[in-house]
Amino acid sequence: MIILVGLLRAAPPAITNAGEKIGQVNQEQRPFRWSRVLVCSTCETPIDFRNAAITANYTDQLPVTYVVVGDSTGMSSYVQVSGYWFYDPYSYNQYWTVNYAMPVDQNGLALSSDLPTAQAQMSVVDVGLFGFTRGPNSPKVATVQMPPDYDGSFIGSADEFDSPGIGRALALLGVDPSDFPVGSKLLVTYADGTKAVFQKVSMTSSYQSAWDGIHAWNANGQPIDRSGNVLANSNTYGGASGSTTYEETLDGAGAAAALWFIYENEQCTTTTNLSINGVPDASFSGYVPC
Amino acid sequence: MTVARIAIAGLTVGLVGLGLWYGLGQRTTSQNAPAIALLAAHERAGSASTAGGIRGASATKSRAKVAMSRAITPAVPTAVDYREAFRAATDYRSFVLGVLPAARSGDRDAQYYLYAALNYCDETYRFYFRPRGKALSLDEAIKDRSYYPGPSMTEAIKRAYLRCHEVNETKNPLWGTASEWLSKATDAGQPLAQMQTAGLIFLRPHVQGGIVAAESQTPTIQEGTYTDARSLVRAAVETKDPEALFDVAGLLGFLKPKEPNEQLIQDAITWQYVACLRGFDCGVNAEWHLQFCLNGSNCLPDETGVDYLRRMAPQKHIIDLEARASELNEKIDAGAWDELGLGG
Repeated sequence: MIILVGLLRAAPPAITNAGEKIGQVNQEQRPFRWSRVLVCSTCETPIDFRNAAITANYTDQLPVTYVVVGDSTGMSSYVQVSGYWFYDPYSYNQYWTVNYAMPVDQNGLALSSDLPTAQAQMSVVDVGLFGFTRGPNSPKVATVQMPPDYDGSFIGSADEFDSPGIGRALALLGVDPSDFPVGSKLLVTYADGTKAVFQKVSMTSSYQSAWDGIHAWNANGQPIDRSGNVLANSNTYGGASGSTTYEETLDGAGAAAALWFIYENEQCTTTTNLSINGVPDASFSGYVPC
Repeated sequence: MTVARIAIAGLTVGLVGLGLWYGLGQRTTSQNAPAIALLAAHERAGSASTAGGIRGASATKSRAKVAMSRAITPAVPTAVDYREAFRAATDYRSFVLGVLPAARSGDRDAQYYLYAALNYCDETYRFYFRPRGKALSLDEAIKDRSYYPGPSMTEAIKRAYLRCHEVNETKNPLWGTASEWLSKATDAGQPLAQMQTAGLIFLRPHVQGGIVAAESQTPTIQEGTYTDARSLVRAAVETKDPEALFDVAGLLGFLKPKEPNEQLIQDAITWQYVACLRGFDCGVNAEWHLQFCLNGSNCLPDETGVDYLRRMAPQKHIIDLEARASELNEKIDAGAWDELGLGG
């Protein structure tokens, strides 16, 4: 309780409240059924992201899973927040009191208590939202098209062929694969419109790139596994609609990205458009937990 | 009468035992000459470093060893050069059998190179001979890859087959797994094992399943944090092992996450070049160079690894590679670890 009070009294991060409340509430049945987007210009640590969500929740006054997007760090986090109405017998007023706020990853698991590890986890969440790395060390070429000689679809594909296929795709672009340090991410698009995020895992082994095992989408933007099965959102409920827009300038390339969240038909979708020096470069859409 | 029977039985047992000893010895000598040489060398050198055979480490113990392994002093040169033996080995089954006793008795270098051999065989077997779960012969694997454009994989496939087909066909559970030996070598402070473990810790939040998960089956990796990984890198770099210095290049994206990509690439080439200057194998057939060339890099015929780096440098806007290398070498020689910008 002492810790919680400390958090609530902490100076709130600078937040651009770009969210829009949507849907109806039934707190008893579904504690985290609302999704709301926050943009936080100063968030760098899990505590920053949590404080941003807590601050917003005193306005929302209901259980929410927030999607807190870091402004320029290439990190985002889901934050589950809930609370209760405290009845003050002296003033006869009720006050919303937050009693739970947990930054979590795309699987709903709590972030690591080790800061650098947590920041890596938040960068993975960010890739799920934007479809490419937004961090300061984002590679120059973040999206590649799998060459036609290789797998034509992510569905049924295998790293044994995708890894050299990515090497070939980069070579065709005139890019040296060694320009991508281990840890770099690549959004690979296939001829049938499926997409997947690959990770550079080694400079010197047979497998140089491998699917990250987390992010893949069918041609409609729905999350899928490697067999093509559509994965259910981890927290779907609703039936309302709404949207919010987020825009920022990316580091380095003079690029700009915009992210739209559209909540309808019990699912949240995102659309990201990337332009470099004003020229449209890539478009990405996907579904997120909400 | 009874005494005579006992004498005959004893003589029979003795002769059978002698025959078995002679037969096995001949078979072993003919098939595993390098293994026997390594075994003999190990016995001459005595069991180096920490004692203790295969043992299960609890998660807590292993985690604590991340910190412990950092405190272990730099590698003491051993009488057995497992690095050279591994590099020269063409049949990894013989190599595995040769290093197994030393690895079991706690020699950290033997443990690391046993890991390296088993891991290479696991990885290449999966990559070339079991793609999409389909079992391929040598000829089928070569044919399968010949349909794709880009650098030919034929020589790499043949090399992997020659080294590993006996390992993969006759794998003995008593050899242990690659992950087990990596864990032991890391706990014992082997610098290359520390670098490998650090790399897998760094990758863990980013990747679920696949090859990385398959190579990460140790408590140290499963529970390690980025702070732990930096500590392992620091410990490995402090040994000044040239191969560990080379491996730094591959982890710079994690070690310097805020550095611009172009700077990372330039730093990586400098670390690799320094490793070559300090004795890391950067010849024409260096394993790392062969792998670079398999993945779309613009390699030239008969070019050495060090020549490749010198040729790449200007393409990455490095016009002063020698000066950069000299500066980095001075910091390494002086033990100025905090000036390397690696954290830990």
